Amino acid sequence: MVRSAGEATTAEPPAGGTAGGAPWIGDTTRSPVMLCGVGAIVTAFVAIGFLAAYLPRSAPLGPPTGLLVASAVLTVAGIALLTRRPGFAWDVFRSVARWILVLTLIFAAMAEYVFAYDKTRGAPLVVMTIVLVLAAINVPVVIGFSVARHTRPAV
Amino acid sequence: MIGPILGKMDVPGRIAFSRRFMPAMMLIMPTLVVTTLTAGWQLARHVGDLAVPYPRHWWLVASFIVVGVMAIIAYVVLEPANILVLLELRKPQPNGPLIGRIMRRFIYTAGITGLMQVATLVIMTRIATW
Repeated sequence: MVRSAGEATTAEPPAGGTAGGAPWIGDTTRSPVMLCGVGAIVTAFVAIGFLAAYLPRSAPLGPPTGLLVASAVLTVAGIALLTRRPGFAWDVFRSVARWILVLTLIFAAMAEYVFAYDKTRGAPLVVMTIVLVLAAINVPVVIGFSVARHTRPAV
Repeated sequence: MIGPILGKMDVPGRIAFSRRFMPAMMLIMPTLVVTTLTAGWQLARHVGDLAVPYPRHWWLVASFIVVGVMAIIAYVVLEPANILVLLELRKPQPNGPLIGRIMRRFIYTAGITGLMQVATLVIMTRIATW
């Protein structure tokens, strides 16, 4: 018999492996945290794609602004749902998300430099910067959560 | 290339290989992706490919979609799976069933990634022969 987080009991030992005769295969439930995180990243990417599809002309800012608002709402909802998750392995989450955050901040800084180098100004620059901020928040959350959710629940 | 080679190795060999290979890949691959994306964007801007009118511009839109899909797969599936397997392999007794289930994701996403790579080749060829 194979167990997952969806059917975990309080009798589970904290270590991984096959203790108790039931191999631990991680959290197999569908998580709204992942849904919010992935949704936030997708909507932010679509906002950038919308702007890029109009190049070299200026794109109308209504649709990308709406997408960014949706992305921000999903980001807040995802983080709120994450903080309310019982028995979550925060130590694993922090150790993973911290380094991913460093990586995404470096990439975001590079991208911002490229925008400045390309003389992107005004509203498009604001939209691009917000997308980078949302990505810098959501990517570490999604990756950290994806790793930490599979930690075997504590006794 | 690495997938089939790994498939022919025994389990201890795979674990030893993955322990050394995955940390390097996790650092190199995202950096490579960002630098090639930035370089490609700048090249397209300089040669004027970004300014082409529709319907040719649809090829650029298609390339944005391909990049977006590949980025989503990388951030949502591949990178977390890499880190999870790496952390598991560092334990004294790695959880085989968990690693096996996570690694199966690579098989599911390999088909999509392969399709995206073919699409990239088609788009690049089309843009280069305008």
